[in-house]
Amino acid sequence: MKKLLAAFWRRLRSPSKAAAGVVLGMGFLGGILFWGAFNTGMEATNTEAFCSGCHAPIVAEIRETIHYSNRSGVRAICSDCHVPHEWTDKIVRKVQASKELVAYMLGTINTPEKFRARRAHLAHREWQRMKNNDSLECRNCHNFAYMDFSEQGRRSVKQHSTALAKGEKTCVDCHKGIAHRLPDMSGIEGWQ
Amino acid sequence: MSTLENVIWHILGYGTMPFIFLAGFIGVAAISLWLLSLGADKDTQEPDRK
Amino acid sequence: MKSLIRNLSIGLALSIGSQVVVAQEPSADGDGDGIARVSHGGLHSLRGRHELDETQPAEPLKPIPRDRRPYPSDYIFQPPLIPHSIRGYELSTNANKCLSCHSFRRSVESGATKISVTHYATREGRVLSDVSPRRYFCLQCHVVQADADELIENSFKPVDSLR
Repeated sequence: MKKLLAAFWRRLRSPSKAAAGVVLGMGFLGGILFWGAFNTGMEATNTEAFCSGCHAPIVAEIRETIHYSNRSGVRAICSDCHVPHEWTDKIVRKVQASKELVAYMLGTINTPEKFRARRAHLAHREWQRMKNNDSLECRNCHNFAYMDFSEQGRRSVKQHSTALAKGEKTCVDCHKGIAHRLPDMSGIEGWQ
Repeated sequence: MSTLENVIWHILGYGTMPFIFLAGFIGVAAISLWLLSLGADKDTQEPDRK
Repeated sequence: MKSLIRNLSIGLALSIGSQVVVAQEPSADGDGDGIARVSHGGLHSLRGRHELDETQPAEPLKPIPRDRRPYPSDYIFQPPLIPHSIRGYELSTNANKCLSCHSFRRSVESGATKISVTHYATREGRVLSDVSPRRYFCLQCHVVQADADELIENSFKPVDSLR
C-alpha cells in the first residue's frame, strides 16, 4: 500500500512524456466526467424510489394530496420539499443524512408503533426547519410575488394578503399537513 | 433542531466539500496516469525513439 | 300391425319435419353467444333508462366550487352546508382542520363562522368546556355542495322565517 502511494506521488511529481495539451485535456475531461457522475449519483438519492426504500409509508401518504396528482399534473416529489436546491445547502443536508443511516441501523422507526410515537417529533423538526428558512422549498415553486389574487378563492386572498404579505407568517405556519398526514396537533398554534 | 446541532452539521457539510474535490482529483489523476502509462509514459524503453 | 307401423312412421316423420320448421324461427340469442337476451323494459331510474345487463358509461364528476358565500339555511336546525372545497382537509383524532378556522378561538382571526354552542353539549344536555366528542367529526352532518342540477326538479321553499 505504501509503495503504491509512493509510486503514485512520484508519477504525479515527474513530468510526463505526453504533450501538455494531452495531459490538460485528460484533466479537463476527467473533471467533467467526475462532476457529472458525482451529481448524478447524488440526484439518484433524491428520487421518490430511493426515499421509498426506507420511508415507504410516508411516501404513500402523499398519494391522496394535491402535490401528487392534480388538474395540471405539476407535482412535487420528496426532494422538492425536503432537500435544499442550492448545491452547498444540499451537501450539508446529505452529510446530515448520515444521522438517518444510523437511525436505520438502530431501527429507530422500523415498526408502525415506533413511527407513530416519534412522528410528532419528526414533523416538528421539519416544520421548524421550514420556518427557519422562510419556507424556501415552498417558494421554489410558489412565488408569492407572482400570486394572482384575482384567481384565488376569497379565503386564500384574505390569508395571503395579510400575515403572509407582511412577512409575519411563512407558508408552513398554516399549510401543515399539505403533503402528509398530521401527527397529534394538540397544543400547536393555529390548530383548534 | 437546536442551534448547536445546526452549526455542527453545517461545519461537517462545508468540511466535506474540499474532500469531495480532492477525492475527485485523485480519482481523475489515477485514471489519467494509468491511461498515459499505456501510451506516452511507458516504463520500458520505447523502440521507436527519435 | 301394418296400420300401427304406418301410424308410427307418419308420426316420426311429422315430428322430425316440424323440428325443421321450428328451427327456422328467429332465436332470442341475437349476438350468438349462447345467452338469450330478452328485454323486460329495462330499468328506469335517475340515471335514465337502461337494460339491466348493459354497462353504462360513468357520469362525469361534478365540480365543487372552491369558495362561496355561506348558503342560507333551508330548515331550522339544518347543519349549515359547507360553501367551500375541503380537499385535503384532515379530520381525524390527530387533527381537525375544520376547527382550525371555525372554533371559537380561531374564528376571530380567520373570520369564519363559529361552530354553534350546541356542539359543546353532551347528549344529556350537560355543557362541556370544549367541543363534545359526539360533535367532533363535522362531516357526519355537514356536507359540501357540488355544482350540479337538482336530481329531481322540485319547488321546495324554506319557511318564511328563514327566507
